[in-house]
Amino acid sequence: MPHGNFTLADAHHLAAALHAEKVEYLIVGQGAAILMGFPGTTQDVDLFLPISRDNAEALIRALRRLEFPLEPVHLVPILMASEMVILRGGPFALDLFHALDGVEDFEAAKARGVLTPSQLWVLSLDDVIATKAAAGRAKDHAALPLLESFRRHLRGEIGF
Amino acid sequence: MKIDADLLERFGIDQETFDHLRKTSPHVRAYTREEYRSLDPDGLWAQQCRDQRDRSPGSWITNGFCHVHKPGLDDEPFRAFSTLADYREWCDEALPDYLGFRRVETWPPTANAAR
Repeated sequence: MPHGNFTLADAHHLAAALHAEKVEYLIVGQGAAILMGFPGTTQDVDLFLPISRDNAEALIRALRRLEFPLEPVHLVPILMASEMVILRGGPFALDLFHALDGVEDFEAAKARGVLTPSQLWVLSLDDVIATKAAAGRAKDHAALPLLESFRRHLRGEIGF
Repeated sequence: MKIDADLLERFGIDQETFDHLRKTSPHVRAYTREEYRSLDPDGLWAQQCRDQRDRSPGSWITNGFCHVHKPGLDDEPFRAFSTLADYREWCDEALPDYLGFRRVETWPPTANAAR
């Protein structure tokens, strides 16, 4: 697959494309925490999206701006709000979610979302932790203690 | 600063070189041996959080997103799952254990899962 790391330039392009097309979204997963200053690493960019035909069309326009190669076979699951779509043919690895374990729905999560210095909207750290706990994968269990500790640092509960 | 001779020998560094690098390298934090031993893991993690806070948001991205090809997950340019449950089930069955995508409650893996 031709994709590579999600670079600083990619972040600028992603923020610009999503803003230009008025896409409703939240970056979720450990990437959200990293964009808030979590000193960890992740591999892919995960977007949480509302179930909305208008928003799906806007997202497709944004992805085309970013030169993701989208064929009809790719468009249907996005338009039909498949709960999980994995895109690996574009400039960076991107996962699309129309549902998340651990949060009730997009609108509620968006109300708690955070606009990061990179001008990308992300899931709140509380919700990142809730989704990791609910997903229950081995890699989530490994990340949770550090994410919870980072939250305590951000809240000033321990020296930061 | 003295360091165990056998440790230096194992890494092929003489004491003089070690002292020089410790004093001149910008990447070496100025801990004494006793200070380093006194650091607890929480203290080291707090220091990492403080260091990251002092770096630019751009460097958070540059250093934080590090893609490595994941066998199974990244082998196809496109995959879609109607439900998260379908996706989780596929991860449990199709991905190697070491990627960490398997749900903990399904541990240990089934006999059919890819290794």
